[in-house]
Amino acid sequence: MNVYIKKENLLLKKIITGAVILFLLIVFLNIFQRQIRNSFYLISYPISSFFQKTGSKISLFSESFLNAKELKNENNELRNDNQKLLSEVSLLQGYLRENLASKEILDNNKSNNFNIVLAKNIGLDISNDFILLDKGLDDGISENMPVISSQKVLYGKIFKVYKNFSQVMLISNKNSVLNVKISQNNEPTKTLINGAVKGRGNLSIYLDLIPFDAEIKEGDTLTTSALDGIFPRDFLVGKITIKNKNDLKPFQTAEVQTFFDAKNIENLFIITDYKQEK
Amino acid sequence: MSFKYPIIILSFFILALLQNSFLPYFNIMGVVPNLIFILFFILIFFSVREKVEDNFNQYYDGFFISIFAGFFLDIFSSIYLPDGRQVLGISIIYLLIVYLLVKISMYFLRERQDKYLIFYFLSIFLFSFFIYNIFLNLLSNNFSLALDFNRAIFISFLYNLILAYSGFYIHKFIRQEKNDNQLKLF
Repeated sequence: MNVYIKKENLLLKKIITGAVILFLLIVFLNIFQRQIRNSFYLISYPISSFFQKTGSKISLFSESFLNAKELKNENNELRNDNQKLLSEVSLLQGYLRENLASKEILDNNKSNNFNIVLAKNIGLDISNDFILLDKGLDDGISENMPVISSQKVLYGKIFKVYKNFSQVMLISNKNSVLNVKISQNNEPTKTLINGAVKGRGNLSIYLDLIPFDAEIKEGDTLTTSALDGIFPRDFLVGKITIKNKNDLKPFQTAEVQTFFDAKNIENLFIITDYKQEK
Repeated sequence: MSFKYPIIILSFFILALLQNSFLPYFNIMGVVPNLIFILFFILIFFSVREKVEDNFNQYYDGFFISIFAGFFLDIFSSIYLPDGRQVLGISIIYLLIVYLLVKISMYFLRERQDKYLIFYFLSIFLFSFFIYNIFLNLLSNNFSLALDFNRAIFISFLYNLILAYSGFYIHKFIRQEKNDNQLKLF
């Protein structure tokens, strides 16, 4: 009996000792929790990252087999969506450019108060210096209406009108002649010089009929003078690059660099209600 | 010198890393098996079954396994107390309680175990796992004992049960048990 009691007491002592040790262990672990965790993560990091990479690779590999059909369908759907979106983006970009051009012309047109119709350039005939616009009779377009860009650069005039389209004769056309005035940038108070810009073809123009004694310089800007009754005044035409003065001729000529860019322009404006100033 | 204890510690360590780095890629509806708990249970189950003269050594093994299993469970744990703190070592207490419950269950069922061991193993495992989940819920759910029986819990039980079943036979194979009365499933 004594032995039994002794054994029981010994067992109880061992249990109490174990409980105390356990308690102290948990307290110790929590006091140094940060350091213990940090050390443990540091030690286990190489193995843990190896397991992670392996797990990821195996998972991707098995998923490709299990989801092959779904992946294929998803791929096809995404391809179709992508194409639709690309087409929408292209359309929206077109609208954006139109809006920007409209805003620009409205800002530039505040003082003139012209009625303008936005038209898209849908064809360029470089050899004959014509462009095709997507507005025609149904849009109120008629022949000889001026065509400009949003930056008030003159392109030409409506030459031929169809129901929904119209052909524009550019100022570089061999049959085109327009009156211009020469603005000298450094001497704005000087008397304006008038001349005539003629088309040479292939999108190039030259200045003619400048009085022999007129002083023109390279870099001088040419703008419309409205003397011909077709184009309003102050629209940009070009810039003098080389002047030609010949003693045997009664007039000066000059090479002109145009401001218009028929190859790259997308949106143009047709002035529908211009009447010559009286 | 016995290599039993270092091997146990190393096994828990490797399983902890596997559980946190490798198995998340093989989760089923967000459920990852608790390999540490499975190994803990297998070890204490077979440890309790052993007939030893000195009962205290058996308790010593149980405590040792519970301490290290609890430590490795907590070291990777992301469960916080309501005030934002983490307690390192709380799983040790949980697993000790589970160990004592398993020991009590095994004591009452000791005469019938040899014939249908796998059933006893799986049923006691489910019971222990259930108790352990309740304890886990205590911390993460403001000390509420109620367990939310959703689909994830059932998948968790099933996933762990399947692995525990595999672990049972792996352990048996390693221990080379020679009990021919063992009922073989499948």
